[in-house]
Amino acid sequence: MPSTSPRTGSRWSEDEVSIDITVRYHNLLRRAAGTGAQELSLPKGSSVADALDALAAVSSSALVGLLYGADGSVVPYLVLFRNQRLVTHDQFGMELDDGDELQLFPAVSGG
Amino acid sequence: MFPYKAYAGKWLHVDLTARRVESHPYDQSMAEQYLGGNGFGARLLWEHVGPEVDALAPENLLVFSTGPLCGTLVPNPGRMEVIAKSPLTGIYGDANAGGFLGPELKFAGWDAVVVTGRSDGPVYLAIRDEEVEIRDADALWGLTTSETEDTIRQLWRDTNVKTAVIGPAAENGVLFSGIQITPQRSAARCGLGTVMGSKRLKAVAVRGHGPIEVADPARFYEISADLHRRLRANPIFEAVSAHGTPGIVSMMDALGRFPTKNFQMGSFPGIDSLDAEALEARAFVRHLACFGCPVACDKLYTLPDGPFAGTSLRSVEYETLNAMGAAVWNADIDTVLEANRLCDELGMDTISAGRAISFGMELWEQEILNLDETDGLPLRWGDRDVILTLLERMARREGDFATLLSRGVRRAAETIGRGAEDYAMHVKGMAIAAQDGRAQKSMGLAHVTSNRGADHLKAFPTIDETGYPDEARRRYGEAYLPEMAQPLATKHKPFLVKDGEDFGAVVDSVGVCKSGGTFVLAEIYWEDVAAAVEAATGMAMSVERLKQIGERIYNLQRCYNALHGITRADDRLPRRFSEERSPSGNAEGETIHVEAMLDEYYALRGWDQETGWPTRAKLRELELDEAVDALDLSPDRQSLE
Amino acid sequence: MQLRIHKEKCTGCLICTTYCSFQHERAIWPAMARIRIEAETDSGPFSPQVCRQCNAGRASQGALSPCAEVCPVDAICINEANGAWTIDAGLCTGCGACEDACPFGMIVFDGARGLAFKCDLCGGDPTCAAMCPSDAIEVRST
Repeated sequence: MPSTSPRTGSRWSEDEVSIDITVRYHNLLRRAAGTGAQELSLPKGSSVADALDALAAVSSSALVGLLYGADGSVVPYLVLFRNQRLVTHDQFGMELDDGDELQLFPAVSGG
Repeated sequence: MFPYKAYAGKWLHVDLTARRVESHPYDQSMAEQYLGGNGFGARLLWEHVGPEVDALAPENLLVFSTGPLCGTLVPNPGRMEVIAKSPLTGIYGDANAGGFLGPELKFAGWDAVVVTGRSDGPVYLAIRDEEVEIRDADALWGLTTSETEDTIRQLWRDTNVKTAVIGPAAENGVLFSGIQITPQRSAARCGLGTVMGSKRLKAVAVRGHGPIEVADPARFYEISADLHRRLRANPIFEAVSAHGTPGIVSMMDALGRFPTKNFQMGSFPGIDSLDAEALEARAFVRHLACFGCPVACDKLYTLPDGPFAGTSLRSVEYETLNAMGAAVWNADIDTVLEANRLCDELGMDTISAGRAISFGMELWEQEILNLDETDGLPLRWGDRDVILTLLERMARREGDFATLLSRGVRRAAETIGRGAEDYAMHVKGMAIAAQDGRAQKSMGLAHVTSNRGADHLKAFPTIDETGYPDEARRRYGEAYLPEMAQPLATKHKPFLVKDGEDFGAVVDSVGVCKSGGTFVLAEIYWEDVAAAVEAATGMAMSVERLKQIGERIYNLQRCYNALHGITRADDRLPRRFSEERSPSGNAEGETIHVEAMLDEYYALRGWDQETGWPTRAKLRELELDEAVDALDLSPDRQSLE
Repeated sequence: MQLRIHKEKCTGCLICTTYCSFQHERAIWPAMARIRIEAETDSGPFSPQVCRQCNAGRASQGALSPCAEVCPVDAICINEANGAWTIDAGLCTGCGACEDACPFGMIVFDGARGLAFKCDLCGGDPTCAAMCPSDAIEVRST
């Protein structure tokens, strides 16, 4: 029986075709994105990698340049958290859930 | 005749008791075995400041030490070390600062300044190239650090004077007082400002006009220019350059590695108010660099309005955003900046001062302290007035409670009792900085093995904060992956820490910056430093030899601490880290137990598993035979085999 | 060739002075650098000062810079390849007249050697511009 998602209130019900996630940008990525956070609607079953592709499709070239290398793959130094858990690049195939929050950081360390 | 270039070739002895200054040639074997910086200082402490010497007695040394690469062409060459026995911990103490004083000392023709004794009245040291004078400082005593520097510059009619100054906190004996180094950079930790104050030395002022020569100019230029190119092409360069250390605040929060409420948690709900974006939006003025540094991670901030309108300062670092922010449950960035400014002007370490406050606040929460015992201050989490009031009171030692806190959390906890020890977050008396071993296991180990007490900078593991497998692969090799790049893994971390400590000891002995190419950018490593040292000095140098120097420095510091009674029993974290699961971020559910890592670390170091002391074999290998004898003589003698 | 300064980009790192001095003196000697960073405070704003190569554009018509004009032994001549007024150290007597004459204070005088020095645009590839990490020094052909 279809039902609306209690968390997002999306008019697309959660077990139908899409999920809503929030992407938060930090540091250089925020500058390039021009915003600290962005909502994204994705087809259900989308992975982290799919989310990044979807982001690139709607982002400025400045931001895309920070996310993707010239060879079209995600820059190896991109740091990504899903719901406050580190996700390494070999885990980018992981499936996302409705209401997930991704945090993106450029290469940075120290302190 | 000292045979090596890049050094000035001489150091200055300042005897404040006899009011005498004397030039000494730099010792060739000192340079070959210890290079300079913290190596030089550790060696002098070992030779001259035994366990019987109180850190605040005239017999303690205060060493300002540059290194052979300080002031030269390699990137980030502006660093200098200050070394003394620490009055806060009672063991080996050092502090490092960037800025411009180190290079100025080299241009003046000095590799180091060693201060002994105690002056009758306040004095300052005036160094103008080779002219050195001990001058009366009655008019400077009591001034804030910036007032002191401005006054000296007016006296000399020269705005290019570089200084090391103490503030009222050091004069008043606050045990975590620091030394401000032009331009308001801080040699903050270990209470070395207090040592300076105990000698009644208010400032060291330097002006230098001479050259630093190198042995092989063409080769040195080539190496240095190439390091500059590589640094600027490094993937981490841009972010560090753009935001400085505040740029990692939000990332550390997501990792659960941003100590909150005295380490109860590792993430802070108000983090969006403390991150680089918030700080810059509120107060950013311009990018600033230390001497010779292309990264320019420092920034000038000025508050445009609000209760602290006009507060203008630089070097608002990650640590202070934590110590005066999340750790005390404060989300108001203006208060953090004002707290930073107060610490700079009064001359206190923001980390230790902040940790004293968060300690007090947790005791209040636990109802271990009541209003009678806190000089009437209700130590509520996040109370901005309490934070700023306590800072002032600690600096001036006003009131019994503030005076108690000014002695550091370990002593404060011992005096208070009633379970306060569980909330004193220190190792060997030094407050733990803004890292949580539960969120990054290598850091937990680094905190317990650091030779100056809890510290992230001695080992400074950065490649496993979030994890840079490519960097790990490049530095260590495939065999160390994947764990070497995983923050929650313990495997291979003893080696990461040991290697970091040895390399860090070299970095701190030659005079370059860890926030630059060597650690944060993970670009410059053993072979690069060896090549640069050889081309600069003419000293034959290989990676193997350089590693031995790093190990020697680190082992000598450990031997010094062993003489002062440090054993394996002191290499431990507060109970919170092993007993309370982190509730935060990527560290959720984690605890840390260092014992197994410590076993492996000691084995890698060639140290005794029971005592944690270097073995005879290791000391002989490092040509520290006299340490074998000295430790044999120690009343706490343990088997060294 | 001229050096054009974008002072708002300067971070006060002094890399230009260390590399300039090294290029010319084979030592790190900021006191001998032919470029100088002025600062209102330790934290800026910073204002890099370079030799303006005064009147170099009309040197072929006989125009002189103030330093070249005042030199009593004609030690300062234009390098036609890059437009830099260059001091011939072999001719310089160390009289200091050029230092007094320069309106911008860009002559560096070394009393120990009895010689004056100035920016020679490194023979056509200015080191300061090449090494500046902030793009604060731009090289312009004239």
